[in-house]
Amino acid sequence: MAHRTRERPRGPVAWAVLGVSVVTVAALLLLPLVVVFVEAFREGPARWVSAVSSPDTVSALKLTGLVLALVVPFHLVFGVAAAWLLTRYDFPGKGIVLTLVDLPFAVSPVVSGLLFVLLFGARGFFGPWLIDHGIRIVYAVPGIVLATLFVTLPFVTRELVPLLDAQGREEEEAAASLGAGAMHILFRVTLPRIKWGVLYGGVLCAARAAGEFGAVSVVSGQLRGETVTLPLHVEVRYDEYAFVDAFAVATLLAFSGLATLGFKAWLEERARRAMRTTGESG
Amino acid sequence: MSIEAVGVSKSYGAHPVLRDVSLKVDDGGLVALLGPSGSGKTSLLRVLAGLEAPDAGRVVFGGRDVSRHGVADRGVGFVFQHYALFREMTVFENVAFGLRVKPRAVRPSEERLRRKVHELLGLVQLESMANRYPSQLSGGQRQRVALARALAVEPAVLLLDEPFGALDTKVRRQLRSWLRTLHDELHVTTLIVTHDQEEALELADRVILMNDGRIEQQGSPTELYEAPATAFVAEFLGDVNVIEGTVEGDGALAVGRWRVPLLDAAPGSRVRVALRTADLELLVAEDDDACATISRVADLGEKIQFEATVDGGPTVRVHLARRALLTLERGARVTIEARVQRVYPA
Repeated sequence: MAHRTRERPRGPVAWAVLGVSVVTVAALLLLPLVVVFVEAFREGPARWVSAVSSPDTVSALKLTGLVLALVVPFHLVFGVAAAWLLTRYDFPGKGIVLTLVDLPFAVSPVVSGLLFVLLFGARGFFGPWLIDHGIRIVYAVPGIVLATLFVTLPFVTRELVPLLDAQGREEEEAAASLGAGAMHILFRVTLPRIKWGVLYGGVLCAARAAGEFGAVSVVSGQLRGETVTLPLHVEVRYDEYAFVDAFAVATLLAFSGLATLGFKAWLEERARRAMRTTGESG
Repeated sequence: MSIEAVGVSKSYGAHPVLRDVSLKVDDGGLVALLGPSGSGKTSLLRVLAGLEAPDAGRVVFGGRDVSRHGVADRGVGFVFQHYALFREMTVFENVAFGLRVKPRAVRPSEERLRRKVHELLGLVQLESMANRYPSQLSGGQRQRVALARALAVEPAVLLLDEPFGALDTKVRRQLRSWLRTLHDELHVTTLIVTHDQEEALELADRVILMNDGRIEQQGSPTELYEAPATAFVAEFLGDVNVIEGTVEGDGALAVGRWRVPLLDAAPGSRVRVALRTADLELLVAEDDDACATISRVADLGEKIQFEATVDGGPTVRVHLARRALLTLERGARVTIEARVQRVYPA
């Protein structure tokens, strides 16, 4: 990467732009974060501890953990496979598939949730069949997992497609000519080169999965201790005028968000360093 | 092992890149596939390797049809123009790769593997670099690693795709003669793709010249140079002036004031004449005899390049040995004499 000299802002316009940015960041990002913590600790740390350790909070935490444990590994595998397919093979309808992968970004999460209700709800397309066989999807954990899977679909694939495209397939061809099978090529040649991208996409996917509200709220039915995830639990407590509880639970999400940011920054730094030491055209 | 292509055709969409190509490389031979970019030589090499499937035709290795085999089962060593080294692995691991991915039954022990890799690194004179990463090597070193890596699996044939294309002239020369020596030692059947005629002529026993998806001519370097079958071959090999015109009644071609006597050309026919810059001679002449003026003189080192502008005609390039510089300066009036000429129908 070319070295760029960085300058201090010069002239009134530069300072004005800088000022607007600082005010925006402070008002939109920092202020809410501060408010969350102030409200959560309004009645002291003991109150905070009791709020985050209540049985409802713990069950919400467990459910969110379960969703993460199912969704993230699925998308790591699916994302690598889809990106591989999209960059290494030509097939009719490839453009359509690429667009479809982005669909969850374009559609409102509430609509995504509604989609699952329409498909699997009692009066939905598969509803009668599911009821006959005693399978519950909507207003149950499977629905929450499905809705989260849907809204987090693009993260890993989107991260890897440009990466794999840029790297080309020569090294894979070289490996094949040396007698390596598909598994050897994937695990010894391709994955080591994109591992930071895979992790990065996984982190983004996990962050979104943990924080998803809209889609999950539609399919959840908010059965206490059963189908309430952490973000939903915040809303439940807030609606019950338990403001301190709501903000205390929100701090858990804020912590996970901050941790994600830190991890993401560390990953980016690692990826940059890996790029530097292994060169660009190997 | 001999390499054979039989009636190979391939198109990308509506664009044909190989049109019914057949060729044979004898066991132990070193053959160059030469041609301008876009002539189909790299596509042909990739079809032979099994990296690309032809639309029609067969690939035969040592008498055995391998058309249905993938690249992993053909036993080819393939060397890419941009090396394609595994950048996450050290030089040692790059060379060892082909041995490590062998099925368990035929995989060498760690000790034998180490010995073999060091042997190969010695062969390409890179033993001291075993623990470096590809990014820490120069281009020439990287390409030698790529060669060692390809040789590690003891391929029956070696296919090289513009292996020296990304290197500077001096390193190219060194690697070229080094490759030739290596081939004389190992006798692996080798097919090398290049667009550099000098490389092809110097390196190969036989040269296959491709143009527009077809084989234009094949033979020894001398055959191709001395007896080019078509105007394309004549123009591609060596530094050539091409003049076009209609043969006059006395069997000569008139280009402005310059008359080029042709040996056997039918009067009235349109012809294309290829004249190598080294096959032309310049003679100082008086006003009436002269037909051209020296318009530019360039010292190329081993030879001097003169550009002679024919009165009422084109500018012709002539290469003369260094000592000929004497009297010919810019503005001198000359006649041009062609010692060797090749006439093709226009």
